[in-house]
Amino acid sequence: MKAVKPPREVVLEKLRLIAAEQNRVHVIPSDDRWAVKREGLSRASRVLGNKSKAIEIARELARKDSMEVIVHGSDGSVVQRERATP
Amino acid sequence: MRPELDAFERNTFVNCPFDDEYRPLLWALLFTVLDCGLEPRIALENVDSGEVRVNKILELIAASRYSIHDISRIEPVQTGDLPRFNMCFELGMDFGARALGTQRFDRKRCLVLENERYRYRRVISDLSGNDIRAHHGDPQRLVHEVRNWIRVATGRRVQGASRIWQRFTVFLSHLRIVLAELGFSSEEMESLEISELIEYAREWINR
Repeated sequence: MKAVKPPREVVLEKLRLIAAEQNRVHVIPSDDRWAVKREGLSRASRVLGNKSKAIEIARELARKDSMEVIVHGSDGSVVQRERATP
Repeated sequence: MRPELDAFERNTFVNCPFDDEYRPLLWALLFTVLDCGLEPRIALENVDSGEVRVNKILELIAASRYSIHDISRIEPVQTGDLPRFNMCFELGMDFGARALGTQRFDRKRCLVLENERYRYRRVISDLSGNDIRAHHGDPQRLVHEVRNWIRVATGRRVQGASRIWQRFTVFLSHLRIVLAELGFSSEEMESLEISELIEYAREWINR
């Protein structure tokens, strides 16, 4: 596929804005386990052996503040996004 | 310290495959180098088809105190493909610079990565005696190996590997969201130019 050229300055500005929002909870593969990490916190809130359980806990955390849950694959990419509803 | 010497102390020549299968590993590697305070230098950073590639590689080797070589393409990606020897060739150039170069080059340090730890001995036995680290095709494992090597080679205080990996995944999600808002698909995100990816990651880390 030919290299894409998104508008550089726009991407940089939007990246800064999104990073500042800190309104997402991530479920991240961590060795053979799953880390639940809320943006803005340096450490994972929980690390669990079960992916479904990790997503469940992420949803609970997200629901309180209407945050988004993002589930990552083994290569770090986004495989699932959902907005938690109170 | 003169600016070019200061840059030399941070520059990290990244010599690795550029195929689609390796992309998740390459992105994780570049992010880890940046997150540990070093500057990745890679042949793809400056797209100029007129430049003789080997001269570009020599420039990067001369400008970089650190280097990371991934020789995992000594095995073809698919049946019927041939192995790729560019990475081994460039590793040899880097070894030569360190052995035969000036006093500044004596301080060069390199990490050699492979898919499996001892497979290289069957095809490049001259490397025996060097510490080759294996990532098993796993980006998370690669982050761990690269971070640990940077910690020892540079003496820098760097974050733990788990934290760097988590930060990398969060960065990827932010980039994915931004590009989706601008109408780019996840497949198009994968074809971002490396120079742009490096710039986005650097800005995100230093925000």
